[in-house]
Amino acid sequence: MQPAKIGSNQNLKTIPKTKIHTVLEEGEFGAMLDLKVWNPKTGDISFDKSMKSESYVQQFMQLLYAQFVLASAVDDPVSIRDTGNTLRNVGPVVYGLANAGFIFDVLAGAGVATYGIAVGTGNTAPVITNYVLETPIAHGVGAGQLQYSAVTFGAPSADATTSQLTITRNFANGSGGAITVNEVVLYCRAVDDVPAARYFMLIRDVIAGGVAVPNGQTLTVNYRPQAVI
Amino acid sequence: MKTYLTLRKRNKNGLIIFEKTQPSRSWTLHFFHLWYILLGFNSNTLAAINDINGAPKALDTADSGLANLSVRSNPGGQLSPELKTFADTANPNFTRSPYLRGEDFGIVIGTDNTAAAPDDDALGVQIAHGEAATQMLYGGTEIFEPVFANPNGTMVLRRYFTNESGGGITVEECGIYAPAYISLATGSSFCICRDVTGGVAVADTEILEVTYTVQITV
Repeated sequence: MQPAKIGSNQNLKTIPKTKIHTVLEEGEFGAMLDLKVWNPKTGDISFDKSMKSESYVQQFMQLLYAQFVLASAVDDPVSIRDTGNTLRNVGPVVYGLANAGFIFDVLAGAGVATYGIAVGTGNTAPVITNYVLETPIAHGVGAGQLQYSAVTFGAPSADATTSQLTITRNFANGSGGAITVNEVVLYCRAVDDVPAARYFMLIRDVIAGGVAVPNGQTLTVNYRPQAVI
Repeated sequence: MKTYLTLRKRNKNGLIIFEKTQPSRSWTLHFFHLWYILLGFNSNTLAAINDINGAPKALDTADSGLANLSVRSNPGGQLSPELKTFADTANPNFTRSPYLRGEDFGIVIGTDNTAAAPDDDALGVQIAHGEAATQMLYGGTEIFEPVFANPNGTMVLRRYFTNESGGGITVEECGIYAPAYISLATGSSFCICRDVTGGVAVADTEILEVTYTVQITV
């Protein structure tokens, strides 16, 4: 019997620690979607996937436009469909109200499912006019529910070619049964001309095959908006 | 999302005499810095970042920070009444402003051809607004409301530059500068996008039209 030969591939290159993982093309502005299912008691990871987010939707571009032109929610608003399927007059300028004119706020607290990253069970392919989760998974510990943690951020950073920031949320399954997550979205909060906080979808992704989250385990979702030179 | 940069040159009679479109490759780290403030309103904080003059600036995380990325600009030379503050409830018309001039934000052009990098703080050499040698007249930066036809959405940013300098000028770089606020009464500009053009020679009296077309596709 011949002894096994152990060799090395001289062409392998070391990936610098600071290298940002992306599959975006040169010149593209997009996002990576990272999904990880893990057991908080043991730390064991049962699912780990990183994919290109496919679907900035209409409201993202409309809100970006409102910000670019510094629209007034009252005088020259941008009409944008919220998650309740109602058109709202939106703009970052809201007269006379300190701290009021936010239009991209995704920093939701624990248990708040109306903005930040949210998940659902719908699996219909995204279209640009999507404005809400197809079938939302509610916050809670009842059957079919997940516990929404607070949204956290990773500050903007860059390597030689890629800039990014990270938005993260955990979804703990204490429902007593397994739940399969098929869709992931990023919602933001914005103020309209009332003024009142309204909610808008920025991104929607459908996960082929879904992500099974067993009872007692946690799904961690990262959205990493990126731009590649 | 992809972005395309179109450079279109017209003679003094308005006739198009040159046009080229190339992929824009260069949304920079500062776009994410300014957006980060908006995404985590009143909470996200940043270490100081360099403005277009290379000066480190700590950005306001509330109130005036809401004006970050407002790139629609007045023509060159004009102070901008659009840059307003928000928390001054005693002055509901919000006429206070950091008064950036039109050429300090919006689409900008320059003469340096160094390749773009994510951490670019500014154009290599910005062409100044004016009619003197090596200067060009900056129009206002226009932004057209997005249009959608599934699976695409498109938004266009456009600015005209007129060469009345008396000589030719070669535009080697384009970019977008965006204002962000340091405090209620102080703003500065930051480079959120930069591209090299391959060189477009603009003769005296010619007009250069620079268009960024931003497109999302589901």
